Amino acid sequence: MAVGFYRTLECADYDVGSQPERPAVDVTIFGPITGKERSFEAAIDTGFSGFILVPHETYEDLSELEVPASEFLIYSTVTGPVTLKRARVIALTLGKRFETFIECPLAGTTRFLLGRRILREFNVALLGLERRCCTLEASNRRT
Amino acid sequence: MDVIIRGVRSRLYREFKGRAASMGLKLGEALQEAIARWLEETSPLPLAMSNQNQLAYAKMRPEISRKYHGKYAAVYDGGKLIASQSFEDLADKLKELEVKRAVVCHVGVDESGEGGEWLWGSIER
Repeated sequence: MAVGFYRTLECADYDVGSQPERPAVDVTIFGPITGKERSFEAAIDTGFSGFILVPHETYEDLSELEVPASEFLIYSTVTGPVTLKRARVIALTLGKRFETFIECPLAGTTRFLLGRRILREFNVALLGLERRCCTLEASNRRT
Repeated sequence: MDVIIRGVRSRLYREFKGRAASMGLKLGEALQEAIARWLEETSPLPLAMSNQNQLAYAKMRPEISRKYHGKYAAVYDGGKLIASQSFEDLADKLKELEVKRAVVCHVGVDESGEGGEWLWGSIER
């Protein structure tokens, strides 16, 4: 069996204000027209298959370029389907700046989450005992 | 994707096919447009559709689809249209025009696939 090695690039402490503690990372979103920026801490959520979920106030602030309503994505939840509105933004997180989307329910409250459509672009390790999450880079060394 | 539909009323189909041809549309294009309009009309998105740019985009979508395939298009000020080859360029043009908000799409490109699930990771005690 081949064994791969990874080098730690950057680590962030878990959000210890939640119990049990949860993995969270710093995210900065830039409005694509005005360039205005907002920073926040978003929980890593492997149960959410979307992009970056944000509360209404943040969405209203940064949704300069919303996608057509016909392209809003519908998510299955334990209480039935939920439609999330969506806007194009520039994001900076885990050491990368990239074009992506923020999402927000049409109604109801929510919080900051980083979904799997973002996480699939990174190697992230959850070090639960250390209460840290780290981005990794594959090392060339193999055994 | 390819779809086979059975049991379509022949008169309805003939009329639909004839109308599509008279508008210079392939049958698949006309059907796709009909499906999209039906979805919009029965959509549970009244909140989103109260936005003037969203309403204008919905009306202009057939024209945008025909003329700007592969480009980024933005609808702003309740019905003005601008298109560009890249997202960055489009954002720059909107900035020059001092536009604060727009509805923008990458025409004919499905960048995100379907939704998925949201297993309430944001709910905590």
